Amino acid sequence: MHRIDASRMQRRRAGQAARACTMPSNLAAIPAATLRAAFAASLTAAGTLLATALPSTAIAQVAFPERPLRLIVHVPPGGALDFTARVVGQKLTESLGQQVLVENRPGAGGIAASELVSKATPDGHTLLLSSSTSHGVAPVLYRKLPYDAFRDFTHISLVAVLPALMAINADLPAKSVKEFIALAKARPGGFLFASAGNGSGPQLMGEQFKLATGAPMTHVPYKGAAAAVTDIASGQVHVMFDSLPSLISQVKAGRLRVIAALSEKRAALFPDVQTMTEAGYSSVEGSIWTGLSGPAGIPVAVVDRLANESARIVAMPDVQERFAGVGGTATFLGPAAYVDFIRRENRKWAEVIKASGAVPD
Amino acid sequence: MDAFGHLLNGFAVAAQPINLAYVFLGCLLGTVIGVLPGIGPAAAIALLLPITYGIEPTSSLIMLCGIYYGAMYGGSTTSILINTPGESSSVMTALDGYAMARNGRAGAALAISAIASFIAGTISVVLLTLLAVPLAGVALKFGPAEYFTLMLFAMTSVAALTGQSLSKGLLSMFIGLMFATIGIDLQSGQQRFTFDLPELQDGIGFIVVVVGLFAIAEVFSGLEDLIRGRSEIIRLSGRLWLTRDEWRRSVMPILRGTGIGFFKGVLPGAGATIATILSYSVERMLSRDKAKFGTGMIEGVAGPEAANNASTGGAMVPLLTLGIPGSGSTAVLLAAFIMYGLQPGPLLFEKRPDLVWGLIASMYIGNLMLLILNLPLVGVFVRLLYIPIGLLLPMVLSISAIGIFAVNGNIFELYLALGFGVIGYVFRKMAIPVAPLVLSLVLGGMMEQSFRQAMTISGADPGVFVRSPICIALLAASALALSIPFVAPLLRRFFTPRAAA
Repeated sequence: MHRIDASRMQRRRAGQAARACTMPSNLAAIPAATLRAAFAASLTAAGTLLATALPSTAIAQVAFPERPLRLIVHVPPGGALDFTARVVGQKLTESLGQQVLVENRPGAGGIAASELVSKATPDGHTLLLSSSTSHGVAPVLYRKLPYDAFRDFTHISLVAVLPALMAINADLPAKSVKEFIALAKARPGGFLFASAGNGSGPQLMGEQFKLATGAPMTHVPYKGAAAAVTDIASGQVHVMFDSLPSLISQVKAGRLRVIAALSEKRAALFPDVQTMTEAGYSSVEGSIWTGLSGPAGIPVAVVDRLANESARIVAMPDVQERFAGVGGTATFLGPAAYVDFIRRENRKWAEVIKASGAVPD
Repeated sequence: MDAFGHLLNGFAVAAQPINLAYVFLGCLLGTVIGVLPGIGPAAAIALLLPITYGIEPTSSLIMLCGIYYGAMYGGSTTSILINTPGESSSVMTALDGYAMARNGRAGAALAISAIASFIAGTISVVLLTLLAVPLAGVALKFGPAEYFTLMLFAMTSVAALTGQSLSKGLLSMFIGLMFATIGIDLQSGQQRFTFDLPELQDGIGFIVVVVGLFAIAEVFSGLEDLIRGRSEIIRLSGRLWLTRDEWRRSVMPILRGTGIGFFKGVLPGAGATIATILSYSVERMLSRDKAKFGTGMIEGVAGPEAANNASTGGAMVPLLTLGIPGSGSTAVLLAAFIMYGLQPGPLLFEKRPDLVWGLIASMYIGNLMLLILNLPLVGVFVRLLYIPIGLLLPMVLSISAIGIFAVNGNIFELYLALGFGVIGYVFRKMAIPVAPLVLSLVLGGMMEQSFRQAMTISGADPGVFVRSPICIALLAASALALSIPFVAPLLRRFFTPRAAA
């Protein structure tokens, strides 16, 4: 009995600690230092117990992990989301002593992967890399989903946030958001903004920008970000809102110019680029994020174990370095805070979808 | 330093024992993955990515690239032996390759595809060495309008696959185009013909269609033969290897296929597949025995196989010089570069010449290793045909099922493949060719997408398709390809009397 109580208390505290440090409404904007402190706080709150006898007893109780784990990813191998899954998977493998197999089940806004995980045995051996696509946007984008984004899942932790940037073709004379808007209004038909597909994050952020600024823009969807970025580089289309990994190679090559960060703080890699708030459009805000989720009903001890492991992994200097390398921030939120975070994202995108009327389904 | 000097330094890097070991490992893995349908190089590289973290980046990238081009070698094996192409770029190989196997020339077909792969692979690395920097900008010249006209041109070549009856070929092609419309419409986000099945939202997977139409249909007709007591084991005829005549007929197709493959590979998108289609139709057009194509012409194996492998060298051009991935596999390779903190692009050539040129040099070595690996396997694989049909059919069926299931782990797709198996069997009974269906399925989706992108970009002005020289050239080539069958006989009639006189 004592053991169960201890683990429950630990979870509650971890949750509180995490919630306490996510008061700012915009998570992408929380400085890395605060986040590190946040995770440290949650660790000290929970970790004192953890450090004593808990891990072994928790394992003894529910026998976790007793076989290799599956981490289902809803994008094809190769992108930023997949990258975070592979880093976390590798670290979990080291700390859990069981192989964590990253499995790609791409397609349809993450529905296939999410449905698979929602129906898996809730023992912690099948996990989903939940993301801004699968849980931030899909629940408000699709009228019919074969699962409930909250009821059918145990959301465990947020692990990474990749703030979005506004990048334009480098031949355009605009150097700032203001100049871009003026240019767009002067141009017959306005500008063309590319996205990774209908209903993708880049499209919604573009619609958000249109709503906030009134800049005339037409949406051109591509199949995946790579094709879209190639066409911006060549000047076929003009602008895209996306996280750094899709943009970086062409930004570095000088064919794309970053003119704004869609986060509250300036991007570490582009200290001279102003944020949307600085440009006067604080409502334009977006990020790509990933976290760990599992089917509903995972035993509390297992959730705790996984949440604590991800807190520890997210704090590792090499993980932070590797995420930073793709323009992301290793960012931890505990189970309860992660759910709150997802709900906030849902509300935000629901408003954009409704106001823009651009997404039919 | 010139390209040659850099390359010599590259060989110094690639020839280090540890790197040689990684080239070999990559090529071996690639061959195995290529032989199995379903598990493609992209998935294999992605699986290995986390394991390679910590290995020296050059060694790791050498191995991962080995998997990429190694898989292209193996892809032809199942096409030739059991009529089951593992990826879209092996469909053309199945047409005459499998026919050759039925004629008892499986050994020759396998050997020529290994040799064509070697020659094409090596020449394309030479072209990569010399042309990587000059060709860097080409990928950026291709916008949606250019892609649409390119797809159009490729579609006209599909007409070359229609076999004996043009109307049956067109029927097959249009059915393929219809299947290509299934799924969420990229431009509007509307669901089309999905019947509310989430499995259909992303359209019908290519592997499902190919395995159904080729392999499962093959099993059905094999069963029919077995029941009617018609089945006979294929006897190998002649020598296992190529005859002198077969070799002579293959040389030019290999060289032409290499050229087509490399330059198509430079363009992001469906480089390899389009290259194989073009190569096949070029060989058919140039051949004196057009009617014999599809009945086991070695030119129809050698050309597309060369094009297929040469495209990997071409695809490395935009990847290394621009950081633009042209396919799933190169996208994963790009991810590997970025994971190591390396940014492909002109700067990489300056900053890490040891890595870039070491990688390119390793591709020369890898191609040689692949030839040495694959040629002895010909003798082994050919024996597969001796397996009694009662054992072979279940084997084909289980390889097919694994191939489909391995991609998405979805039972629904197995049923779908069974459905396509029935369609394939009916087509066969009615002598309707299946290749146009498969290829228009692959090309149709991209063609529609680039057409609509181009129209959105131009503000619904169709003039966009004649605005660039590339578009105009491709449209002219399409018109030429369509008119040659009608015009050529007229010209011949016009010139013949004069020649006689």
